[in-house]
Amino acid sequence: MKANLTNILGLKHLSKDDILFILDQAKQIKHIFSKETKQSPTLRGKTFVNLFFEPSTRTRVSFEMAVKLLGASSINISPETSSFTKGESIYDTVKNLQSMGIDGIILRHPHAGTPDFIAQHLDIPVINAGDGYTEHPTQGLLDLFTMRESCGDIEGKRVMILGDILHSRVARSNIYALIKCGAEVTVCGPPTLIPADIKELGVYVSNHIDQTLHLQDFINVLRIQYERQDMAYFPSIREYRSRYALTEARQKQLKDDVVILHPGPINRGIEIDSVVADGSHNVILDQVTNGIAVRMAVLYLLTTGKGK
Amino acid sequence: MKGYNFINGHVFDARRQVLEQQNIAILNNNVIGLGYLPDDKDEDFEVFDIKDCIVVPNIIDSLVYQTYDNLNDLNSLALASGITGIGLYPQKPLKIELPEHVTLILKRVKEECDVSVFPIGTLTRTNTESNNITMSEYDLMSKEGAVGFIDAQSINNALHMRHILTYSSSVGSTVMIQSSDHDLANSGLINEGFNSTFLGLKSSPAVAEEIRIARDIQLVEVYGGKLYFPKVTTAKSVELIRNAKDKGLSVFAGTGIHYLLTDTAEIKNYDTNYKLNPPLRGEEDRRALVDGVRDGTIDVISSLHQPRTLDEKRVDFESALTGCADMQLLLPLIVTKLHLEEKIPLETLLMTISANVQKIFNIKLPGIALTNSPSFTVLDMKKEQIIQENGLLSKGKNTIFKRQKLRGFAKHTLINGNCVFSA
Repeated sequence: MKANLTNILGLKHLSKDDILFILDQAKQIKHIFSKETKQSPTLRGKTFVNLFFEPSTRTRVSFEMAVKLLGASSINISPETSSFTKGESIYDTVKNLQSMGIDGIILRHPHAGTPDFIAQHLDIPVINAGDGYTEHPTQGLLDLFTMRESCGDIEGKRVMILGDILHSRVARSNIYALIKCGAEVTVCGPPTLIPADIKELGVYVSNHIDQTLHLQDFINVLRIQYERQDMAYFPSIREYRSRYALTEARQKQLKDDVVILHPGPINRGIEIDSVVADGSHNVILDQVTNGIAVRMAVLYLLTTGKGK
Repeated sequence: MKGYNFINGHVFDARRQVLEQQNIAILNNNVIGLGYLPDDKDEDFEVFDIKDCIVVPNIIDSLVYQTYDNLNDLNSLALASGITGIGLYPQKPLKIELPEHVTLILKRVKEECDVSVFPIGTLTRTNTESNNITMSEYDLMSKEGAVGFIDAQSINNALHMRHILTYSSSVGSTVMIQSSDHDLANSGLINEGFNSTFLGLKSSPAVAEEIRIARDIQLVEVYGGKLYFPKVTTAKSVELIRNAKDKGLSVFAGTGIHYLLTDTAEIKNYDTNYKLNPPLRGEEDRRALVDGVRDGTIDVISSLHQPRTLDEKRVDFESALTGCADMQLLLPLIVTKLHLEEKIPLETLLMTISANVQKIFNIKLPGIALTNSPSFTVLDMKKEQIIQENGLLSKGKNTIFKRQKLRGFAKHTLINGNCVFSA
């Protein structure tokens, strides 16, 4: 099985085979770095730039770890300390970086489509680490990887994505990956936080968590994104909790073998109660670990051409 | 002494809305013969056999944004595009806010332009004494030559809109509105729908336009005024305007050529040339606009020419400036796409770029009649051309219609009886 990977801009562009190819590679890599030595210096001598226009803990550190575990070097550029402050365009920035011999760019940007834009003008791989509301493909991959660790084949499994779907790039990447792999996906949240015509992606839409919570095999809980909300989409946090949060009270509705995910960071006591977040059903920290394996796989496949 | 004899062409008569075969003889910029060449003229007439052509007087591109093209550039572009008049809405270096600005622009037009330039002023301005937003001086500006008034945004405050309509109706000037409810539009970059979800772009729903059109039509019904919506984009908007016209209200509609020919689903890979304001809508909206042109609900088709530099478009979609530089392709797109493909009668289409514009802007230009010095365009209806990037004449190359095989390009453009462009 071969994929055709030159960039990772979004899971909407990848086929099921592409996705599973990457995840198989990630599985092999995870096995390697679970050992003591951890390193697999297949990309020694390569250099990657993390170009992050938005704050990040997990994703940036995860990519840095992935790069270092592959024996490569990582350079972090943030706009506040770069020539962006002098008005340099992102086009000029990435062209300059490519000219310096950088082997790949990992970009997080608040504007949708920016990774696609720079990829059009570069010959080196571009990995989208999150663009606006559009996609967060490596998060989508690691979420799917984590789910498959529980169940093997995701086909026919019921997955709920819960919360602020409108502003979530994680939700979209999840949807593309899960639908392509045959899962039954329900997005659940206040109607004001459900994107227009999202049913056309093949998902079910629910505004009432209690109607289908008990049917779900996986629940991916999304953070209520205060920093993206410039207006009121729901009346109050307590009303949100009452209608949509994965509270301690709702635990009894869950299947015995349900698996709970969260992309982080968690707003404890808002979209999820601590007792649920720290309970036995959650795989939140496994997601973090798996993120490194998945990102190593992506870096490896793009840089070595093994993904073509 | 310079004479032209245009033979075998079909001339558009806007009054009767017909195309008829008619020869036109011009001497020293005046029409001296229609259908014949006077026997007593000894001068050499340059004969143009325009067998496969139509002759259209007074083609006006009614809303042209002057960004960084100067007047000279716009003049050359218009002539080569077959446009003999432009409704000019300057963005740089200054907008037309005062009668003095109108005078200044027209002084420069006289020095630099062959085409007629019809200045469009701002609908409101900041009163420098009180620092309040106030109406522009419609009467004084109209007397200097302004033909209409528009702001970049629609008027949020309904009471202000009432005053604008009431006052402007006493002056007889045309109020132009880019209809969009600022709050509902929510800084959207493309039309709200599946494609906005798929691309992850902030979106603006169609109702943001419709709700303002409905409100302003209702205000016209109560308070009067002459209202022109130059950038109608949705099906419901067309329906509202159709109903308003049925009631006999002085409400007019225009749209940009791109809204008639493409829709939001065409926005792929975040191509910034498709970033427009208002945004491209759905296919059903496009069809409604086409039907609106066909039945006369849509009075005017413009290019909404808005050139942008490479740096203004070679960025991510959110950061890109809006607009398309489509003046050069306006006429060929109308002929090829709307007439030949969509089968809209040519006479109906020619009204949208000539007589209807004059009616909305309260101007009266001389037609092709004996002793007149008319401006007209000879359009080649047969020859096909493809305009590649290096054939685009505007400084801004931001168009979505490159590399299309089209007919209806200008073969000759005459200004006041003088042939100033020949292809």
